[in-house]
Amino acid sequence: MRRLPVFWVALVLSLALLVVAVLSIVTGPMQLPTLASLQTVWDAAIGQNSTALQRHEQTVVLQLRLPRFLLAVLVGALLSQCGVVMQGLFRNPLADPGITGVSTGAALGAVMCIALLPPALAVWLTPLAAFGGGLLATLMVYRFARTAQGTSISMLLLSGVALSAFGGAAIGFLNYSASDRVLRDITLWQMGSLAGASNAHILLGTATVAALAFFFQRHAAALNAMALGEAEARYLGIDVEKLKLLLIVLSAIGVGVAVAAAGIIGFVGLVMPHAVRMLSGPDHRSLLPLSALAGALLLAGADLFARTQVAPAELPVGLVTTLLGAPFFLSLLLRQRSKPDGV
Amino acid sequence: MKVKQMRFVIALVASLLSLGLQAAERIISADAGVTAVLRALQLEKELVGIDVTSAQLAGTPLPVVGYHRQLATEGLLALKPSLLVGGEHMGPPATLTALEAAGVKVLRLSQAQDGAGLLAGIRQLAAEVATPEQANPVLEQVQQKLTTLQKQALPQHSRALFLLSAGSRGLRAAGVGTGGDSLIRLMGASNVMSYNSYQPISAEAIMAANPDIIFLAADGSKNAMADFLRDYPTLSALKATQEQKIVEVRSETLVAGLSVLTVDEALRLQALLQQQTAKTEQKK
Repeated sequence: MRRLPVFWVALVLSLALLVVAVLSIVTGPMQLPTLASLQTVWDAAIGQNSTALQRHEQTVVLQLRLPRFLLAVLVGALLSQCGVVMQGLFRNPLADPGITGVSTGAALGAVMCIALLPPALAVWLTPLAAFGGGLLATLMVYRFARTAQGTSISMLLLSGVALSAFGGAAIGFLNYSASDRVLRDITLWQMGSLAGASNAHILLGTATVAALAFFFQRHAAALNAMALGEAEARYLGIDVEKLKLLLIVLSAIGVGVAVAAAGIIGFVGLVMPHAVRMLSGPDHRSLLPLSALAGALLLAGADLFARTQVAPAELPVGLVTTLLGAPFFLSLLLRQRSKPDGV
Repeated sequence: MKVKQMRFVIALVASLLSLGLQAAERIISADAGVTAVLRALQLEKELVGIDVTSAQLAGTPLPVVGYHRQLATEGLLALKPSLLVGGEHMGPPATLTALEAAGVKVLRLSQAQDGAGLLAGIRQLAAEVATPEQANPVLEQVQQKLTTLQKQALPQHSRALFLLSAGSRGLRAAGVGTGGDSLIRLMGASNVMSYNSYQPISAEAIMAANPDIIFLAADGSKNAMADFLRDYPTLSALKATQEQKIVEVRSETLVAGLSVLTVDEALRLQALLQQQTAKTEQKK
């Protein structure tokens, strides 16, 4: 597959994201006039009030549709960037935030909350427990992998797999003993949803995306060097151990924030980096921002679909990302197979 | 003088209009039990949306708003409701708050545990949406059914087991606080299981409990009873099975816990069990 210039990929992804942004603002179960809806957002941005929408209709645009779109962009960007970093760090195309145990840790934290706490308390503590569980699992896996000679990547992957299996069984046990109501809650939480988008989520998400983008970008060249192999990276003057610890913890924070805000959303972190790599090459300096853009696009598009297809009800967005993303990824793989000089 | 008259006419028209508005509620029901009560009150025409469990009951096609614990704010608002009614587990809280902020009244009824609770729930709902003339016949009817249930109560100390069957992949038995438990108690029997909610149970544990009556709930399958006895042949030796005191429950009457649907089902099952008893005694 011929690689496309970074500029064009960036332009196309940005335009597509803009289209999804406009669609997200103007469509929904509620029929609102298109231009007036956009006007409302513009009004809110510059602090005037000239829209033709009524008060409660403005609420729908400004407090339901806009925050959801923004949260989709932030969570998509977070998951996708963390995916790039994990794959780069472990030099393993299958590495995604799930592999270091962070997803399972987060899920276990959340499921324990849902299953064992009274509902009123669980609503508020679930995101916190998810975040804590994810970070704890990552640190445990990292501790297992630390040896006198440095961090062993294979130990890290294997202990991640073991911890994930343990977490999966623990979740299974909680599922088994849960009541119908709790079971349903757990299942839905594991399918992900952006319906809970609030200002707090968006502030936290923006701060995390900005911080992670900054740190990841600073280490983009180092990640390129890691692609040669760990020893080679060391010869190039990179403090590999420090780099690994920093990036693993940052990714865990990124995924933890994403999971806390939206539950488990599969596929974005694993596949969007691959797709971008196939389109515009493996240089982390462009791969990181482009993947963030692509992840944001996929999740925002998926949420638009999830919110409108079975209205007035909603689909879990985590299912939609996979339903939309998997065929797209397979088609990329097919095209790559026919031209073996690709990635 | 003229101005005063005009004012009077305007006030009159306005009050008539507001009366008219009050009468025509736009109701979303997020609970099958609530939907059934609204139908009994003949307020079906005021329903504009229902949840998944209500949709399982046959009736007029209405927009389905999804699972009652995961209601979508914009989806609900798009139906322009004036009232959202559901059980105590309706949610998420953010959606309910947003609806209230948009001027939609939200009514949460606590889960009924017995006949008295059921009547209280109907009264609470009727006070919101119906006139006493509409509500009283319904209340009387339910009260009458509850009295009938008490009169024809199953023999004292009947020990009953309520089973949920998932085909050959296992059984779960109803504990305290479940719809199955309510059903058993409505008929005047006692539940052999004393734990909370539905729990997995083995055939051996059922043999050990040795209930007098078994209620079997299975979704959709036509030969649920035959399949059940084929999958668990050991249970044929039970006293309940021998005396044919094993009856099939229409599980859709229990989706909302104890509701008016459950009362009707309890009456049906009670009659069925009494027929079985009569038959067994004839044989003797």
